[in-house]
Amino acid sequence: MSPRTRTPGFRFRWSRTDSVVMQVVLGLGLALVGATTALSLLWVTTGLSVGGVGRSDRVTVQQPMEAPDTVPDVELSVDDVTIAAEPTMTLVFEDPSTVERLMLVLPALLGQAAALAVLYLVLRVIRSQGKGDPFVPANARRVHTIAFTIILASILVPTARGLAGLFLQDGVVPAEGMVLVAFELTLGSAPLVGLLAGLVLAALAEVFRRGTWMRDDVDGLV
Amino acid sequence: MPPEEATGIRIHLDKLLAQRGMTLTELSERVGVTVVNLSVLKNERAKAIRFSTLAALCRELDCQPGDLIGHDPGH
Repeated sequence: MSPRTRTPGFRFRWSRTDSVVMQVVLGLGLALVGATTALSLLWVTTGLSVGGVGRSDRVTVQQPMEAPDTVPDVELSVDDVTIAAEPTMTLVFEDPSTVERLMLVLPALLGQAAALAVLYLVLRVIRSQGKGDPFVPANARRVHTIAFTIILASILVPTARGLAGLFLQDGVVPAEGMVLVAFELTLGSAPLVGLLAGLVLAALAEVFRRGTWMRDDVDGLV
Repeated sequence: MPPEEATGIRIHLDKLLAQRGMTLTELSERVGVTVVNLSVLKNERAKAIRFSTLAALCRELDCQPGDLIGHDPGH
């Protein structure tokens, strides 16, 4: 092996302490998200009190089109700034059925499932570093799965939110004027940020996969 | 990982070392390759050899690549 060269000017080094701290943080994250998911599922399946899990009993949807805009009655101290009405309303379910409970937490459950998968896989990647060689096919697969999960979640979560919102409005809000699809797609909106992050990760996963090939190539080179 | 493919490549490093009365450690110091890696090469567990390593071995053992490496398709 040729002597290991370091990138000039690159001072950051991943130490054993960093690895331990990262594993603790990821472990805590897994426990926290896992507990939240379990609580949400418990809230759906059993008759826990409506306000049992944070603000799960409510959903914010688009106002019907003919609804008058409601502007907060706030006296602004300058003339050249006005308050715009947000065309949304929040439906609070005081006695939701099991299906309604499921629909209320569905987007959050999907997001939590994705977060659990990503946290677990990152933890496995970090742990494999401790075993000496992170450039193994299993890690390349893990990074690919992380990228795929983030891309899938960034598409499924907003879709589920929209569909669950429609389901929850059905029979509650008058059908005429109900906004069927309402979303905004800007550079800062969550689906785009998630998609972008997923694509960047997918590219890195491919780099990682080729790294494992190269690692395999130099294995046994004298 | 797929099983090791039998290449039939033979390394005659121990024979050359014996003929020249040289130890593996001594050779390792002269060519600048670790004893571990030279041992891997000697025991035919290496999958590839760098031209620079080959050139250094030929220089120090005063031989040609063909003296060091042979091919025996039967094995």
